[in-house]
Amino acid sequence: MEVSLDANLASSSRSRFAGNRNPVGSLMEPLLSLQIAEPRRIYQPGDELACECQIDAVDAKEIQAVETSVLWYTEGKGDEDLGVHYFNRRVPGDCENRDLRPMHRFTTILPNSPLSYSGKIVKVRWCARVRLFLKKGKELYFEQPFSLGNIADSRDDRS
Amino acid sequence: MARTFRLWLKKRGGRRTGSRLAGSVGEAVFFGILFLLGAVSLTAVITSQVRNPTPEIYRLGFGFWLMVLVMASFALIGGIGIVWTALFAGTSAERRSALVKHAAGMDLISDAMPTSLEYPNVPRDAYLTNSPGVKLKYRLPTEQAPVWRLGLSALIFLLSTGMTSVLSVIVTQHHMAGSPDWFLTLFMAPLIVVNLWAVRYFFGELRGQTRFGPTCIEISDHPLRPGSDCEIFVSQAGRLSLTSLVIWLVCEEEATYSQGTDIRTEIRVASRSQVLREEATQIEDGAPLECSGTLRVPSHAMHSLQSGHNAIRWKLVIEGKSERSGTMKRSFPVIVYPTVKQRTDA
Amino acid sequence: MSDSGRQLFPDQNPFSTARVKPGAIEFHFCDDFSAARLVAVLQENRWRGEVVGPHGSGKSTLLRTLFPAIEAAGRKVRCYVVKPNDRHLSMFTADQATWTDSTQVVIEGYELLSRRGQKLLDRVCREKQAGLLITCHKPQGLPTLFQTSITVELAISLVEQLLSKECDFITPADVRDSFSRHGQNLRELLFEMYDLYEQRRPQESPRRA
Repeated sequence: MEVSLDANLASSSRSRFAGNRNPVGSLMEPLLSLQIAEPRRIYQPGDELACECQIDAVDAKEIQAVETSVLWYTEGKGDEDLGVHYFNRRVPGDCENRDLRPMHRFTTILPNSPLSYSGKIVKVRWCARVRLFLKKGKELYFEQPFSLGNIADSRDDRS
Repeated sequence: MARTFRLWLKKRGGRRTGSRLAGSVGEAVFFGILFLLGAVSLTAVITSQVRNPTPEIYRLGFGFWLMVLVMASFALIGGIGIVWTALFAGTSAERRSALVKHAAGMDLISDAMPTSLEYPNVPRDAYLTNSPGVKLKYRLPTEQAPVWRLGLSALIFLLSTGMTSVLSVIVTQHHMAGSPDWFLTLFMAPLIVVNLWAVRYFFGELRGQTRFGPTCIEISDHPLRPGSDCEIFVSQAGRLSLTSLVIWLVCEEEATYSQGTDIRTEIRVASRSQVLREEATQIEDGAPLECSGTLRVPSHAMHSLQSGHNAIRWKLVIEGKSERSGTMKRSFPVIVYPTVKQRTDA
Repeated sequence: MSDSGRQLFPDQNPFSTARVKPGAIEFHFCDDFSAARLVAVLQENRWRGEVVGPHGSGKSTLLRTLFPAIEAAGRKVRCYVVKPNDRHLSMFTADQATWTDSTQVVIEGYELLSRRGQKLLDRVCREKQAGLLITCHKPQGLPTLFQTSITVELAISLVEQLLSKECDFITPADVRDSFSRHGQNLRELLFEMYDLYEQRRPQESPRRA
């Protein structure tokens, strides 16, 4: 899965551009929001992760597709690896009124592994991600992190 | 232990009819003599023909060419035999089996079986649990056999001995023919010194490998889980006096970064805890040191992980120190699975 | 994978590979060099050139900065990386049929190719009239497009760019110290900054399930 990088900093609730940095043909950039339904931040294997995503500030006809996913990736001194646990792609035809903007809820049962880990040169991260595909090849994405498992920080081990 | 060699013998377990060290050394000496015999004889025949060619003996048939073939075979078999002995000296049965299967250099960790669907990206443990132990349920395979130094010393020994023997023949022939080549004769002196060093180096490595005999680690349960305990049994064979023998449970992180033509792999120890320790003990041939205890995986420890460029690996590392025989370090991989907890309600 | 500008996790290290790999940070040109100017020079040399520089000095980063400008000039970039275990042309044998006079062939690790491979590649590019841009550690005979080099000031500037404003536990003195050991290898310097960041970052409070 390709992830486009974006140098624009934004707060947690605003959308993020990928690729072309010019705004999409409107005064405001599209607004992506993604929330993890349950307030607790540390999940365990077998728990149900429920998420809600919503799109605003963009015309429904501009949207080509919306992808929601729950994935893990590695971070650190090695090349990044990625594993997709849950993936769903919706196109306007999947909705009755062909509008992908209203709130969409998705759930998944979290796997036994890999667990979130903060090591010295390898870290394992989990997040839920929503990616918006607009016409003319523009993309935006937003992700919300969460923790899976209760692994101790490797820095706690002084051996 | 039987004192005499018997033709028919039913063996079980690890009993031997003689010293492992003597066996390895004897093997190396046998193949060494074979190699020398072949190399020297071949050199003598070829140089004599170069100096005084007798074309009539070159025709096909039993004679010259058969002699060349036999001597070349001696040299080849002897050379391969020395390298083979070097590779397998001090290795366990599991490693020998693995080396035979994957002659190109198998890494037991990277060739681990694919992960299961139940535990994505956690290596399978089938290759670790297919060898039953004698005292406990599982006998662990060793991660690597320290063969490269012994192999290198064997190669140096072969090359230097070969060169020295060939040149010795040539020099001797010149002297016997009454036309001594003094330059070559003087050149032989440092070459002989180098060859003696190579011989000493090779047999020193061989002795080092066989002094620290095979290490056997058995555990009562596998895979391991954070916060879990299991029994561990360690057996260290050899013939030496140990100042200490320590077994560690080590967690390593490995990260590989490739950019352009550069590939960089870094390994970092994330945690290390002592499992067993023995101080100042003597190990005799046929009477290995045996110790047992409890292996405890820390709570909230990270499980084993294998992805494309990153890995988290657990292993049992045994470190032995001896004043006369140096230091030994051997690793035995283990797999730690994640703890599966009950689902919590919101 | 993680966003290069947003702190998703409190223990996120700004020197992780995602943040420092080629393409994640723009190439810093000195003097009056720019991507557009280099592409113009490349075009003057009939789209043939080499980027020369030591290990970790930014050759791959420069290429990724040049790609958009090369494509904007109407060329199709085909980039290949020569690996030590694949020193022949197998990686682009299948692609050669698609090369045209508007193709810009880019080879990273040109020196790793066998001599025969280099000659064959050059011959194919000339026959197809495709451009050839390579990276190498020593000049290989193509027109030198750019020589990458790292200065301590550039290293400090890059490190400060990657660090957040609140971070005060990595200083320019640390960068100078690391530069004295790694010199032109910015990659190793950034890896050392990674370790330094991990050692010195404030410990977070333990999480509770």
